[in-house]
Amino acid sequence: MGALASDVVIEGLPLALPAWTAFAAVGVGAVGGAAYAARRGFDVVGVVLLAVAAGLGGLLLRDTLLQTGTSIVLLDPLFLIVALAAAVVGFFFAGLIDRLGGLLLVLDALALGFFGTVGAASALRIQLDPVPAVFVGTATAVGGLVLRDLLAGDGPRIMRPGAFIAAAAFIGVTTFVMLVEATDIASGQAQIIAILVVFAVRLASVRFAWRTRPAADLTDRVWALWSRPDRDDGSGTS
Amino acid sequence: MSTPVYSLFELPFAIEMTAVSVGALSGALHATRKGLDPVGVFTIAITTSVGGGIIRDVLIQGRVPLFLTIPTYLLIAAFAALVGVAFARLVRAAVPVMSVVDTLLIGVWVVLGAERALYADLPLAGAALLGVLTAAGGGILRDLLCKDVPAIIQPGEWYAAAAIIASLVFVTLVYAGVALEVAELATIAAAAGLRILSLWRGWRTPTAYDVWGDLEARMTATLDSSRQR
Repeated sequence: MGALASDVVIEGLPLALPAWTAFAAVGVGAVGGAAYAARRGFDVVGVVLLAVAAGLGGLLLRDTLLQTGTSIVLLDPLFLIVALAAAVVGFFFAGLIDRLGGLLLVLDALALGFFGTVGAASALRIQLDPVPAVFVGTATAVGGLVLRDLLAGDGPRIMRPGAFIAAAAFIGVTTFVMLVEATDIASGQAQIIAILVVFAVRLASVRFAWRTRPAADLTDRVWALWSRPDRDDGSGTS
Repeated sequence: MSTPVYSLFELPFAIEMTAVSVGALSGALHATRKGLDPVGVFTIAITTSVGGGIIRDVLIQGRVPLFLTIPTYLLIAAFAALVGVAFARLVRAAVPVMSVVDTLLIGVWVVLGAERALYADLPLAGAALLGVLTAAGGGILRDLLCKDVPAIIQPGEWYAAAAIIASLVFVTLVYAGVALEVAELATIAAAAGLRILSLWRGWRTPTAYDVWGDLEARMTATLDSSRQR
């Protein structure tokens, strides 16, 4: 039994996962970022930068939002070393990584839940309310992806219609915060449950081709209900 | 809080201000070339010049970013932006001089980033990253504000690549216990040397090499040729 992930990414909060999971999650995100940069034809700087952004962006965003001091990813050299190693892998093996797209999707779905719960737990630990904690958790989960897309000059993928990513993180993080705040379940078990929720929603959305939809304008529909001549009460639901 | 941070460093403050003004001038030039209005020119000039430092200070946390605590940064940047707006043609004529100075400044930015990170008790790895981000951050923010793909991640001239290697040189020398002045000069020389060498030899920054795809192609080629025999 070695150090716990909670010791590495947030001191003091009793999360159950071992320390290496934190580095594994960073590595998975960074490999994805590096392979993305390689595929887009960016140079070696781009591969390194997008690997660092995708792997560490979420935790950097969390630490900037929470202002709890210099980010852990700058203080523990292992985070940067993992991201750099991922950049090297992405630089030379982008083709192989693309072949293993399914494996990366599965690992990425696990990392999404991990970052989400870690972010929410850090927010709760400094006594933030549940609603902001859900926000910080979701931002931690998707921050790497957003930073990667911004640096690559794209609009963030998570905001465009497509398979559930941020939505999956949001559902899982909400589950985590509700379990921690409203039940007696230990935060470590709540984290495992939340990670499984994110994993299930993310993979189900890919498997069953669920897609987030563009915003729908309800004005006309509500107006039609409201101005219907035969309505007999003010509720508009007759 | 009120201690003037620059006095703790070996690099003279004048060099940092040169770096800021060259950054602001090149930012202003970039903005006028893009046809932005004066507000845009000022925004891009200031972002290009102090953007790297902002990223560094925000990531280090714990103190207000340096460019807000010492007014000289903004004054110099604004003055350079003003020159850039009012005398765009003159500045354009000075581009060759600016690129020479800029070549020397890559390493200066790296030192300004990495050294302040070390001063804030960051480990060498974090300092190396902040050195690179301080050198490249201004250009990245400039390109993002202009809605371009950042120039430094596209294949082309060595700039950030030189900064990455120079940053590694700096932290290695600091780790080896070399005197700070020596480490600083070596870093500046390494960055400038790499950039000059790459321009001279016409190197472009390398793009990813697909080992797997290459192996596969070779294997199918071998199989094909053996089948033909």
